Amino acid sequence: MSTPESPQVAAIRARYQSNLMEKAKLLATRSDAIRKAQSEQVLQQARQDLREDLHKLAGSSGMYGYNDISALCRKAMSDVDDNDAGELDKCMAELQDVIRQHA
Amino acid sequence: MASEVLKNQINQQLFRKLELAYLCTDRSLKVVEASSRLPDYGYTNVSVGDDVGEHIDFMIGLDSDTKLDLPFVISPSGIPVSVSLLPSDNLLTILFTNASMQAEQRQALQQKANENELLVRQQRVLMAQIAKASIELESKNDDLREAARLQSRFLSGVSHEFRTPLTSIIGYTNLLQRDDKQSTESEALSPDEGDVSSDYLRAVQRSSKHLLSLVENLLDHGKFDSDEIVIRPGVCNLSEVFEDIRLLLSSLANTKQVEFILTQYFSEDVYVIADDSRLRQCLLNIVGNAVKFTDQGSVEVIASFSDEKLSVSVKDTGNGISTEDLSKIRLPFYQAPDTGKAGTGLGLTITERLIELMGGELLIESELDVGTTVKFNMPMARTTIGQATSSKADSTALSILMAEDDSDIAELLMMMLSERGIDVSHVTNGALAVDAVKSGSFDLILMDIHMPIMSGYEAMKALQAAGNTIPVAVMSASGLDSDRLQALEYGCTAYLVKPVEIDEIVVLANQLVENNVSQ
Repeated sequence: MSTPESPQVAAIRARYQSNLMEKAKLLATRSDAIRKAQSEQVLQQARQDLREDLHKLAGSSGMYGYNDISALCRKAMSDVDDNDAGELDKCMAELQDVIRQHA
Repeated sequence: MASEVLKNQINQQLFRKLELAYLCTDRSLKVVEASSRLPDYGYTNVSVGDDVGEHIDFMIGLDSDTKLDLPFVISPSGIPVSVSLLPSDNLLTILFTNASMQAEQRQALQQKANENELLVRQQRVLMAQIAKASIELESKNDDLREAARLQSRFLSGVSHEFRTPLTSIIGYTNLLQRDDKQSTESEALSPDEGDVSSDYLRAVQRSSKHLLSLVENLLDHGKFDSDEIVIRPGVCNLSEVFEDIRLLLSSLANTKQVEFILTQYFSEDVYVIADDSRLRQCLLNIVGNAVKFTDQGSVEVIASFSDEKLSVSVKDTGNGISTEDLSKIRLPFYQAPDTGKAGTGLGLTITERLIELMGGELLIESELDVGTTVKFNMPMARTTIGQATSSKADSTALSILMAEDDSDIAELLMMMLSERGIDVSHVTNGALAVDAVKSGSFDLILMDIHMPIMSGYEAMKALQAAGNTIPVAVMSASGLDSDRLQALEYGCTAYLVKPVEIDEIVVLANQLVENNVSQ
């Protein structure tokens, strides 16, 4: 049986939830950078940046109970590693939708 | 005259071409004449008046009337010769002819015969090997056919097993969406309607967990093949484990009007060191099977704990298992035929392996049309650690250093740990963690892996080099055993996979403190 949350913890959760859209915007910016990359070097950096942000969001969203966001972030990381642009775009679109639903 | 001359010439030619040599003796076998070619064949120093036996040993025992042809004789010179003994009125002529060519031809024929014999023998051996290989191939074909059949059944079972909870999840979420839509269109849900929604959510959660366990079963089976399964003992409350089993399976039994009885012969405060999740997995499989295969009557679970050993017995009044199937049901993908129940055929295989890995033993007894009893026992040490989590006063002594660069995670963990009376110091990278350990005093270090400036791995290496004795618990987003093993190599004491439960951290910290105190 879990103990009820304190108001302080509830406030931290509420703050995280309110910041979800900011995180979604950042991911959208990272995705755009990949699409617009003109050189291989820029592309590699953009993919690394996106992967790092996905990794962070995967960890924090899981801690806050947003398991669906966490799972989609991990899927997107896998698509980045596999260099699968098509799957990545689909996954990022779905991630944006899910974040919007929770925010 | 002319004919005489011709005869002589022909004789000379013949003598020369045939390399003829001769030796004449009288009736007492004394040499009366010898050709000049005799030394070519190794018959040297033959003089008139000599006893022929002194020079030609095969003549010993023969007399002057012997007419004989010896086709192959090895002369003293080593040259094969053909020897003819030609008696006449007063003389015996011994004629020698070079038989080298005939000897070679004869040897070549013999060689061919030998080779043919060898070929025949080799052919017989090859035929035998082909026959044997054919038998083995047929046997392999039978195995492949059986494997294909099992695979087909497995896929069919998996498909059904996945569809069932997925259908449940989709159904309940549809109901929740409907309720949510109604509540936004009219007033908020009444308390009763709120309870129903909670029930739907719990049902979704149960189905999700069941689906996850199916996937994990498949993954576990693969891991068993490559010896990757790792048992991770931790603090476990036995009563909670069995209570969860009862909650999960009693409702299913009730819907089938099967009586579900669970009796625990231990109190609620029994804590043991065991792999909680693997123990649940085994119980879910065994008790779940009992409920699945029982259509009337009862399923009775009895659990006892004494002398640091857990003993569980699950008895059902299902159809039972024949002796033939009983010998096979532990095999991967095997399912007893004609049960009408779908499944992957992996559960019992995995369960038995897990129980063995945890030091236990699984026994199955069954009788057709009577029922089945599955028993297992498992050694597990009792501990008092878990009881400390309920005491906030005990955890006020704890001091934790948390190295975590994600501010969202750090903020939440710090607040939740502080509310449990734990003093938390926070740093944002591995380098700061190493500095903090030098200057501070902590009971536990919580270490994230991916951090800027210095990663968790690098920090652990630095701490290890500095002779650090404070336990380090890694918090990682990766659940891979390879990452876990790497962290252990860098000196971590525990490996927590995000999202991390606060109680898990508190129990771990208390356990590590108690271990340090007892050393």
